[in-house]
Amino acid sequence: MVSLGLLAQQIVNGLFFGGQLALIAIGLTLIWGVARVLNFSHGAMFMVGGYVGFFALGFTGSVAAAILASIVVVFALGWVTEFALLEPMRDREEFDIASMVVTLGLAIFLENAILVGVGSRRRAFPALTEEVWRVAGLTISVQRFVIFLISVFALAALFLVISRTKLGLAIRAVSQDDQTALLMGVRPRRVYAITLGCSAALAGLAGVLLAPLFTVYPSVGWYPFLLAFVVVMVGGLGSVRGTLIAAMGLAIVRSVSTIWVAAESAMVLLFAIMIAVLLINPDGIGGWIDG
Amino acid sequence: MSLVELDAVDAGYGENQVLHDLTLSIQPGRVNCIIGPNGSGKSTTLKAVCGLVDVWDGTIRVRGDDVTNAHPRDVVERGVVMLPQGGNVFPEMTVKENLRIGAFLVDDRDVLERRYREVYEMFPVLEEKKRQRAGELSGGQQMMVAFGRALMPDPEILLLDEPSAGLAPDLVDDVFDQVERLKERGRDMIIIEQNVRRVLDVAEYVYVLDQGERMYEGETEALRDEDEIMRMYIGERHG
Repeated sequence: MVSLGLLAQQIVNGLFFGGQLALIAIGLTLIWGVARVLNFSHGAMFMVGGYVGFFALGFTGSVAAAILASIVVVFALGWVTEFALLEPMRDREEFDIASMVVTLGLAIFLENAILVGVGSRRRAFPALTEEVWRVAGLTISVQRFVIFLISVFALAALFLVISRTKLGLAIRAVSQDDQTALLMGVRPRRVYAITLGCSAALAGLAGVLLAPLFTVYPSVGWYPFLLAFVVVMVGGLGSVRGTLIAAMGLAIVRSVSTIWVAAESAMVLLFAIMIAVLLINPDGIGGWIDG
Repeated sequence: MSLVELDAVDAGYGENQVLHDLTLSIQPGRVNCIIGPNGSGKSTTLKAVCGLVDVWDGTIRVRGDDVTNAHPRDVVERGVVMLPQGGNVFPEMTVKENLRIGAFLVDDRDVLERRYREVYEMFPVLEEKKRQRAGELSGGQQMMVAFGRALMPDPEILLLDEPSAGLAPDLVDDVFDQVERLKERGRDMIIIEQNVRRVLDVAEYVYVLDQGERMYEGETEALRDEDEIMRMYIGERHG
């Protein structure tokens, strides 16, 4: 029999994990929704974010500087990826498939470049804090809570930009009809680059925020990418709202399921949910909520 | 000075040349139409002006400025706005957001508010539905959104690419009503249209294209006396 206290604890843990998962997954779904790119290098950008944060922290001693450096560098990486690798192929047929192959190649390149450049050793990123709070019988890691808050703040900022600013208007227009947006004076290619930059920056931010939990090593990005991929498929590729709901839901399911099974086995459950959702509605949760 | 001028333009898609040495001089102060059979290069002409099609040779000017192969944004900045076939509203955006993106290059809040007022004055239903998603509106209302969006930058000339294509007959009437209203307000336009009889009722000057070449140009009334042209391209003999 599972105690209510344990169940509540796992739900809270899942909630915090959902915030982190959303941070990674929203970037993945955003770039698909706007630029039709299923970015297989998203996990590698997470990894680069972790390394940039690690070295920036060592250089400056400031966590804030490490976070800022990760965001800036990985944004630039996303921007360059669009202009150097994706834009030249954009007018070709089968761009969706070609962009997957190219970004997969980029992921392998980045992983191996890091491997050659800095080695395979896991780099321990110091914990933000070891403090824990005990609230109503629940144990709350302050570090996870802070990471959750930063994730919520970053996603709220992204939503504000998309829904309230001229740039957001351009992003939404391009995602719906890039040719008509072009006739309004929007520059879709610039919008793609900014969106890929923002998407990558979210991955980079996640990479540095989660570095204390995951540590930093060349292949660290694949597991978060896989999780984000499941989330995005369940949430609906391109649906930001669906992805948000899926991230929170799946994270809580995963967390609660670890009461009975090992964390690794919980992945099987997530994949089963993904398959079930896709069988019922290939557009995922977004297919229901976005109409 | 011509408002829009094409000088010996060759243009096309990939290796398929559509426009052949095309020369047109669109004068200000009138409604122009371009007619011709399918594949004659009507839409390609508008797209070449807007920067959507590669111009291989020749020159396109807007009020004397060379805009040959310019980015569409540069063409919009010079007051040339195209309303694409079918209107193509952004369905997930509200009516007001659709209007806002029409004036994407306008940043002055006062100017924007004035433009909203002008559009709402012309299409009052859009003000009532300004917070509704454009995709939820009727076909006729969506066309109003498309017209309103095209008017938001207060263009010097509006390019209408087959505005009645694919519409139900009652919507076709709505579209030509809007065109008439724009004409009454003195808006310069170039209209590409398959519905020749309807467009000749509103246009003051006609260009006839065939296989990417200009076959005829002149006042609409004068065209009605051109029996050969009327028979070949409009499918009727005057009188």
